[in-house]
Amino acid sequence: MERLNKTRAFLTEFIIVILFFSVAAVIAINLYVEADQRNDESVLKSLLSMQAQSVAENIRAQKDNYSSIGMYTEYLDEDMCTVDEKKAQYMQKIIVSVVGDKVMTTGREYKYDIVISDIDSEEELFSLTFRQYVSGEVQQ
Amino acid sequence: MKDKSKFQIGTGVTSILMIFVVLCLTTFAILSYASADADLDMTERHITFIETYYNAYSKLNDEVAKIDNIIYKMLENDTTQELTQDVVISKIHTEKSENVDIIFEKSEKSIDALLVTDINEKQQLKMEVTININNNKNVCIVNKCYVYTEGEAEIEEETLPDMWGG
Repeated sequence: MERLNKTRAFLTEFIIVILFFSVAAVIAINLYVEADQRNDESVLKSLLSMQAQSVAENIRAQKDNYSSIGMYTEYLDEDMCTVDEKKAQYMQKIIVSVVGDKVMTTGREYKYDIVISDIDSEEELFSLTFRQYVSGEVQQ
Repeated sequence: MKDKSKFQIGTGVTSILMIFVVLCLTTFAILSYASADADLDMTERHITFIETYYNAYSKLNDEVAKIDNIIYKMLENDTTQELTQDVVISKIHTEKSENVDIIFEKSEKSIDALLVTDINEKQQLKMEVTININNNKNVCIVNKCYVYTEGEAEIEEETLPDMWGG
């Protein structure tokens, strides 16, 4: 009889232990999943911002040929390397326009819109806009 | 006879083990979440800085465009008299934007201007612009840009110790 009571006590305790463990496990798994999602989001945002900033700095240094007004499209893979459209995961658009209604004869102020979007959903993931003035020379 | 080699788990052992396992699980889960959250927060702060930096850069470029246009119009309108540095500086001061400060420094052949605008509460973007107005009426603006952070520590020159030449 005493042994039976001990067994009952042990089993009852074991059930309560499993109950508390399962509640804690559910909470912990939710936290782990949320942490993983945030990590993925952080990595993606870092990559996108670095890519956009790299393009912007190339434009500022006038290393790339974006002096003509229009739209330039490039396709990027998951590592932000330029690839063909078929293998691409992201689409990068650089829209070059002139600021203001009149074109000043001394120089031109260009507006650059750098937009990176998902190639499948076409959802805009990151955008960066800035203006740059290129001065000219006035010949008498 | 009672079998003394039979192993029996005590009543409180599972509870103690459970407490230990739950503590570990919870601690590691919270640490993972906090670390990922901190990374995301840092990334978003960096993105905010990038956006505000390029906004400030655009404002300074707008101002440079305005200065160039002012000088060009002055050259077009005042063909009878030579444009003096004081006249140019006065005109630019009158028509400059409110959120941009301009500090002028006259030199023999050109006007050096420092354009300053705020990136955020503690940082400013400064752009050095050189305005050349020579006798051939060529207007050329050369600029370079840098970030100034409030409260920068003074950099002291340190003497390097003797290094092994190899």
